[in-house]
Amino acid sequence: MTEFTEVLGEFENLVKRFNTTHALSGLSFRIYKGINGLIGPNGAGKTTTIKLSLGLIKADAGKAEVFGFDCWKESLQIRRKIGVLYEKVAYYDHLSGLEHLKLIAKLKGIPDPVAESKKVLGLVELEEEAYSRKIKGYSAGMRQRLGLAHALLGKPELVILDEPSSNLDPLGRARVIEIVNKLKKEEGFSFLISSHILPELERVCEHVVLMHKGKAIREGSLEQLLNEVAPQAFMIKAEPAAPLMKLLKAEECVKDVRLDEGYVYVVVEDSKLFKKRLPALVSKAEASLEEVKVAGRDLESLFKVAVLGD
Amino acid sequence: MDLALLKADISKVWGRPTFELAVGLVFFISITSVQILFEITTVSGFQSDFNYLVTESLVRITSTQMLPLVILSGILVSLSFARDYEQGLMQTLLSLPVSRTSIFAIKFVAVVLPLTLLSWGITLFIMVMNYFTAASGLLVLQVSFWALPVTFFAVMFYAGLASLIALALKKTITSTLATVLAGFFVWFITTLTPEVLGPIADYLVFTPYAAPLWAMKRLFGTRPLSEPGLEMNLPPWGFFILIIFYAFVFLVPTYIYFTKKFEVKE
Repeated sequence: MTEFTEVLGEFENLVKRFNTTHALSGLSFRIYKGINGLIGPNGAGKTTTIKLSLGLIKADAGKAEVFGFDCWKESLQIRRKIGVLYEKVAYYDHLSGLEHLKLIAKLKGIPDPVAESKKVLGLVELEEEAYSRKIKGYSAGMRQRLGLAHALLGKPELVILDEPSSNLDPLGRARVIEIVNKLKKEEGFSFLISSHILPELERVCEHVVLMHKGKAIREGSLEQLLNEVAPQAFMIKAEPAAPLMKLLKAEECVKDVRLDEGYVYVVVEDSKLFKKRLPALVSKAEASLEEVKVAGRDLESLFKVAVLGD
Repeated sequence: MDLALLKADISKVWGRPTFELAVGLVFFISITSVQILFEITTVSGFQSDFNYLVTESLVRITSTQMLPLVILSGILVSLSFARDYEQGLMQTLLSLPVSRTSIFAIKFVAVVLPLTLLSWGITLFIMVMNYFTAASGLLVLQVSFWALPVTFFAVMFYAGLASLIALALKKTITSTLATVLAGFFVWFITTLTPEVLGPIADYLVFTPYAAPLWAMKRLFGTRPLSEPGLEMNLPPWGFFILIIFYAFVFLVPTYIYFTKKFEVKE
């Protein structure tokens, strides 16, 4: 099992409200050296957490520290050590990609801005002809790559990627994941990656935080969390499904039942007991059982189990 | 303040067609207010009449430029703060290793400084083209210099107001309209007559729109068009203190809000 010892960031009982919306409601988790995944559906509070860690918004309550610095009061010290790529990439569009990176490199105090800019542009594989093209002429994918280069500039101690592959095609997504893996292994970069596209995170993340409704509902190593989920969720295809679902809901060993993509998705507390009871329940519901399978050992299943059980 | 970031922001704010439109507007407005010496004057009185004409012309040019400058500063500051917020550039800037004080100063200076220099440059050009002779050269340059601080502080006032509105509303169109309306209102009240305003009309000379012009008029000793009023009670330096106060009256609270409270929520 992976050991997480070096803590880069710590969040405790964070609360943030926007008018009547509770964006964060008692969020607690840690960021470790390595690749951290922040997983959750849209509206879970992932982007709010990222903004909060960079001092763009202030928590109503709770403690937020990155590298030992208070995220609101000492955000400048944090921003010196962090590179960030937002989902909504916005730069000075009248500059070229290379000019933009040179500007940021100067602000970061990098000794040779041109060399460093070209190095990160090479890392993200942005075509050389695009170096001198104005950013306003870039495609969404090129902007995303430039954003990644922007985040990697100057080898920051932590790189935050907010939905890094949202504007990329499947090949582009795979490439981002490759780059992240490579940078971690070869250059020792640490990442905090927020995404709702779970398969891509599964390939790189070591430490995972599952967020739902502004709270961390699970936290731990990916391996540990996946081991937790496997025996707990079942996918049943039965016809008709409704009477079976009604009976399942009444069972004590069942935590939650939901219809998901044609399957009755069941989260259980005691899988042995559930397996014993299932044939009787199917018979009682007068349903024909077409398929029963254990939910996959993947982040998507883990997420469904965690959210349904929350 | 980081100069590379300031340069990038200036080139964004003043990119095409903003620069060309601003130059055209200010130049066209300014040229309409040039004075011509047409009165019959004696040889002995020529120099004093000419001096008066030069100062009066400068006051008129500055006065005519004031309304377009108010509108331009309001629009450009709204675009610089509110549009950057809406488009996500403010979020990018605030995530850089640059203090909020620097970012605020850069966004403010990127509008105020070029606008002041543009207005002053056009004023100087017109003054030199019209009145520069071997004998009057120094006078024209000396007199024209005073348009610089007066315009600078006036633009600062409106830019401060515009930045406060833009940061509070955070919407480009809403804040631009609100700023333009606020600018028109500040100008409009100075056009009201004593019949409408009653005794408080005398105090209009101290309003943010009129005070910069009166600072120049009092400095040059321009004769009031009507009966002298309260403006004669305040010395020229008093008007300068007043316009400096106006320059910071919205700027300081906006700066405090931006550095201590401002959040990027969207």
